Order: sequence, then C-alpha cells, then structure tokens
Amino acid sequence: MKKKIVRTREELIEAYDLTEDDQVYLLDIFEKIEMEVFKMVSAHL
Amino acid sequence: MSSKQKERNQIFKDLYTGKRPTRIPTTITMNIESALEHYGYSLLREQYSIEHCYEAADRIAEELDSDQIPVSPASTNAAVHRYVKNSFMVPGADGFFQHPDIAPMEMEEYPEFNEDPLAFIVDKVIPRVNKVFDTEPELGYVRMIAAKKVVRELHDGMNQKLMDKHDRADITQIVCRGFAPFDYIADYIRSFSTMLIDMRRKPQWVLDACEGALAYEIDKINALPDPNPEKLEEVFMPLHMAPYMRTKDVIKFYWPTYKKFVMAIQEKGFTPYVFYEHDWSPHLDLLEDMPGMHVAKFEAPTAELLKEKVPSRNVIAGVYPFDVIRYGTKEEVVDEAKRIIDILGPEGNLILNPNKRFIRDNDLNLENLKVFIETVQEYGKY
Repeated sequence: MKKKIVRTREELIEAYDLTEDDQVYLLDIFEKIEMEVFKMVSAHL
Repeated sequence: MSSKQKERNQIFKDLYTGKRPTRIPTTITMNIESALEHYGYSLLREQYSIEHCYEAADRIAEELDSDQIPVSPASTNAAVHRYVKNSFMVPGADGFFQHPDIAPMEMEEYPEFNEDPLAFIVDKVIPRVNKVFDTEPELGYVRMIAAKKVVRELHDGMNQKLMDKHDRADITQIVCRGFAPFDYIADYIRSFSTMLIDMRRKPQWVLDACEGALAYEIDKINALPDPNPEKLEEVFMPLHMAPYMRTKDVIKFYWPTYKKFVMAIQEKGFTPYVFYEHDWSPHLDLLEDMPGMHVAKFEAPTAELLKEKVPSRNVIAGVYPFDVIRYGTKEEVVDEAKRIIDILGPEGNLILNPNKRFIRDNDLNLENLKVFIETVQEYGKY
C-alpha cells in the first residue's frame, strides 16, 4: 500500500484492523492524531 | 477554593513539611478501567471515550470521600498504545492492557547500550517496542508525540474540575514517572526474567547499564520546569525488582543508583513518591541510608515492622491490606484501620491507603471503601 502521512477514517480502519467497537470512540481519537501529525510535519510552512 | 479543599491541602502540606497534620489523610489508588467496568461500561469501547471516563471518575468521586480524587479520568493511555502499536502494553480479549515480559535489547547489546544509553534508547529500544516504526521509521516519533499530545489535551483540566467539584486536595501533583535505574533496565530494556540472569553472567555490564539509566533518568528530571512553589510536586516511582533479589545483591546492583536518583529528585525540589511494591521486608534497613524525605508507600511489610525500620523523616503510605477491603466484613475493615493507626499514627507521618491499586471492577468493594474512609477520617484525628 502506498504510504500516506495523513490517513482517512477508512484507511485507519484498515491500517489498524479496527473492530466495530474501536470505530465508536477510538477512531475519532485516531483521526485527531492524524490532524496533529499533519500540523507537526507542516510546521515549517 | 472551598474551606474543605483548603483544609485537605493543609493536611498534605503539613505532612510533606514534617508537621503533624490535623488528621491522617486517606487516599485511594484506582485505574479508570475499574470505574468504567463498575458502571457497566465495556473496556473494548468506552475506555476510549473521554466523556465516559470523566463520568465514571465523577461518579466514583461522588461515592468515595477520600482526600484526593479516587481516580483520574486521564489514567489510561490506551489510545496512545493502540496508535503506536506498543508491544509493552497489549490489550487482551476484553480490552484490558497487560505488560508482557519482553526484552527489546539482546544480551550482547549491553556494551552498545552502555556506550551511549540515550542513543540506544532512541535508535533501538523505542522503534523495536512501538511497531508504528516498522512501516514508517521516519514518522514514528512524530506519530508518537502527536498521539500523546492529542490524548493529553483531550483530558486537559478534567482532574482539576473533579477536585474542585468534590472539594478534594489539589496541592499534590505527579509531574513525572521515574524508575529506579535497575528497574528501568529490567522493565523496558531487558525483561524481568532475563535481568536476574544478566546480573549473574555479566555483573559489570549490568552495573554500567544502571549508571547509564541513572544519567538518563536524572536528565529527564532536570529537563522538567522548576517546581511550582504553590504545589507539592511529586515524581512517582513504582519499584519492582528488589523483592526478588537477595539483600546483598540489592546493595550491590539496585540501591546505589536508586538512592542517587531519589537524591536528584529531591535536589530539583520535587518529592519522590515511591511505591515499594511487593515485599521489601528483608531490605527495610536500607531506608536508614536514604537521605531527606520521601513518601514511601508499602505493600507487604507489617505496620509493626515499618514502625521499627522506616525513619520518621519520611511519610509512610499504603500498608492497609487490600484484601480486607475486598473481602472483609465491615467490622474487620474498621478494626484493621484502627489497629494500623494505633501503631503508625502517633508519629504523625502517615497517609493510610489500601496497599494495592484497584485495577478491575472485581477488586472494588465500594461499601467497604466508604467504611474505611470514614473510619480513618474519624479515628485518625490528632
């Protein structure tokens, strides 16, 4: 799979093999972390 | 701040500055997992819910009038462990995380670790433990730091909100978790089982590794902001390995770097809050050798032995048998609290709390905890 720095919800579900339970709350946190990763790697802009 | 909260803060301030407080404080140590399960939530789902963690911590605080909040809603890093694929903290089938006995460093790598501990931890240990590095080595640290930042910010202010709402002491704060250097090597670099073998096969490598881990741990403390003079800021240190060692080995391998680390914490102006896990009874004479004051929480030694062996310049915590809370009758809970207070109370340096952490709902007996707290708050008045 091609590397993506900021992943969508669907890509996170696949990358982490998230269960239905995981998709209720954990996925929201993962999505926030992805945005934080973007902020960090784009901090030079 | 309410007068009750002020009074509670003063109790801890007196204790930590060597004065006899107005009464013996009582605290509870509990995982948020136990609170979630107690209110019928699933760890598979709700331990990742910031709102439900807060709600469970709030409800437990409503039930238990301990001098500090019984449980922090921020006491889990479950989402971080999952995101970085932390092989030190692995969820079981019911969602509860366990720490497997794994060794990210091989025996023959000691010399490389001892050459530059920080470089080895950064280049080898952390990437081997956190599987997010496997697929994205260049992004591993970014993802790890981002995960910790997001989860920390999601919980921001929750502890203070609970302390204010329930009139609990807010003067003590854990600013960092530290490790006795021998424990750091055993817990995070080698493993519990291999470390004791290393000690026999390559004693000098182990001694050098403890010195390296000590330097790393001290650097972590010195990198923290200076202590807030309005607070009693603590470095929390759970001790693991010494009860599985002979005292002569503790004296040689464990104690020297542990003692230096405690002194470094004191020098920086923080209070070491040390949990002497399991049974330290054979090694208690060593505490005379520890300078200054630290909070010493004990799991197994008897109250009688602690009174004889622990210098009174320290604060004694723990001691109260977890099993009496869990399985005892109301009368047994009251009698045991009074018995321990009669032995350790007169010195004025006691925080009475159950000697183990409440980890799962099965551990909790809220009725007995209420009886315990009420007894200590009444019988523990000076």
